[in-house]
Amino acid sequence: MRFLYLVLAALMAGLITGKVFSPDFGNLYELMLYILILFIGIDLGMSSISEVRRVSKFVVLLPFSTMLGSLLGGVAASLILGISLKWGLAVSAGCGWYSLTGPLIGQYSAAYGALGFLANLTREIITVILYPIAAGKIAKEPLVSIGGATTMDTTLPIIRKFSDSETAVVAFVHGFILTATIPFILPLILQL
Amino acid sequence: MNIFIPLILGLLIGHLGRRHSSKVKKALDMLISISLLGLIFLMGVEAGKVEISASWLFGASIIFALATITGSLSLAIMLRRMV
Repeated sequence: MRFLYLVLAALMAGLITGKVFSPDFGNLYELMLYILILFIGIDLGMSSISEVRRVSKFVVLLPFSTMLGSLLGGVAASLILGISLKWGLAVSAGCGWYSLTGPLIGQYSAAYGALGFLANLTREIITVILYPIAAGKIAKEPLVSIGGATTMDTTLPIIRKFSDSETAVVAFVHGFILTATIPFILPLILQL
Repeated sequence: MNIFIPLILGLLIGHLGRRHSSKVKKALDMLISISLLGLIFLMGVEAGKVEISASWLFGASIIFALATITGSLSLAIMLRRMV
């Protein structure tokens, strides 16, 4: 629980620093992410190989249920906000991948491109806050779905920290399948 | 850089160093914690730099994020019960 407070403090300090000073750290974020992925790789490499073999039917189906659930959530959000279903589906199909969703939707509409970017960025931030809180209350593997496509990179470290090596493997496979699927689904929706 | 390069490199290092896993695991856990906090700080910096021009956009983003998370989690829990 103490680490969760540290996570929240780091996030708040970052938000304030970004808002007030707008510093340019260059590629530091990317570099830090790769270092963390390296550490996670070492951690997984030291774990029993049987964990990797235990990739079940559930793990293969989970990304598709995440996508479907995200689209259903997008329909609900569209109805609440009174916006066209097409844009709602496009924004929600990003599954947290803001760097792809924003520019892709932005080709058709700048306003919805901004919404696509911000809504998916918010999903990533909520995952960072929610996963540690919910990890003790909800089964760890289904909980991976909240991170969407980000579970293979940016939110993988927080999932690993608050679960186990086996769930980290589930998260990586989940994020990988979604990352491979979204670039096909999102343009299809935008063609509607 | 591709995300697979550090991951595969890490898997190889971890697999080769399995004999010393008990000593290394503790230090590794500390390293993961420290770099995770650094990453979250930088994530916050990037998010803080985003200029939100309208309060509607901010509100709509939160609604979308919560709705998509709820949808994905609900179906994942249902799937877990079925499979």
